Amino acid sequence: MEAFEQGLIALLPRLRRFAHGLAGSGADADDLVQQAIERALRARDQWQPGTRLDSWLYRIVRNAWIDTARARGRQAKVMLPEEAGAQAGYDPRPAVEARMDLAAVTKAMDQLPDEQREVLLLVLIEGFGYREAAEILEIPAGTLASRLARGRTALLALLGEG
Amino acid sequence: MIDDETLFAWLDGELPQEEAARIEAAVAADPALARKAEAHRALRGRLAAAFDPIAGQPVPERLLRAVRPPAEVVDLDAVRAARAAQTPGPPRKAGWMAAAAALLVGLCTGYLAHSSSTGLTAERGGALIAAAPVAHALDTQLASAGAAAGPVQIGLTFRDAGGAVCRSFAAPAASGVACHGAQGWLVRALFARPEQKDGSYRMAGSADPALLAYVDSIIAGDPMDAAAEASAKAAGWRGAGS
Repeated sequence: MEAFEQGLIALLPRLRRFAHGLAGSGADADDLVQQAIERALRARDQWQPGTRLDSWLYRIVRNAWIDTARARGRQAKVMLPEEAGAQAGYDPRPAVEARMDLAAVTKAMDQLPDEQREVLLLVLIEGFGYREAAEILEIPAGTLASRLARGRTALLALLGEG
Repeated sequence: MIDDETLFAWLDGELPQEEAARIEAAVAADPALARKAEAHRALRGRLAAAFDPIAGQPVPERLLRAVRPPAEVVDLDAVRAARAAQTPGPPRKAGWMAAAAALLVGLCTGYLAHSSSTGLTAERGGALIAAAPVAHALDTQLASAGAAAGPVQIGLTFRDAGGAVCRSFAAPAASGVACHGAQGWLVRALFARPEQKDGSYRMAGSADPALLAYVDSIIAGDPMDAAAEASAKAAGWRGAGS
């Protein structure tokens, strides 16, 4: 298998996580990743070996998301989770907790403006440095820093201390 | 006065050393600022804990196929035809089958490389069974006794539809489900646990949603409680299947 495909496959788990954050639901996220794969394969000549494949692919995922989901208009946003449902029934399986928290976090992030959410995803979850994240989004570093600060403050307020 | 952007840049490790030291001192001297820094650190941790399991899930087959389209398989036929044309005699079936197998292995590299390199599993008679440390934990540990001291943690114990006793486990590099059979603990599913940025693995307690989904798909009835787990152990984990 060629290095390009190998690199792409190795990055799929991270790209799925990023797409999940952008799209806000599992099914949409995989559609988004599939589109991004198709675009990446068509545009593979534009990727320069020696530069970061991950940044290049993240940009493709993000642009695919802008072109489709954002243009269509995001699905009706579900408002805050019903407090009652969150604690109904006890399940000893720890993963249930993680899954519920993903739902809670996703709902909170849905309420942020898109341009803040994508910055939070790249820096706080995907672990990109400011410079790489700004390059992926093609925005100045100062813009990135201010969106990151506003998004973070808003998200903390939405999620509270717990 | 330290503004938000500077505080966050410090939290994210984006400041040059000298400035970082200045902010660190300021945070240490100001309880309100320290609380704020702590809240944002916790927020980052919570986001990572919520989203990381997605990166630990197996990648859906259709996405792998999108990278390596079926056209590749058709190409194998072309290769075979070309080879047959070059070498007199009947086409060598083993040759292209090996090539097809190699392609499949390529698609599965993520799993296979992982499970063999971590020493979690071994092959016996073509079956994937739990290797010594995992098998030992599956044999001896009771989840009801609390967290184990060793690297392998046992999660749920339950029966599958065939009556076999199955247990979920979490090792540092992977989590999975094994069911007891005649050959020992047969590994039914294995999920890689993503490595963290600092090189460590996620805590064993934070099970993968993909693992949970798998358990949900094979479990018959409810997970065993402490008493049922203990009596299953006393019976040597034998179920209808072993």
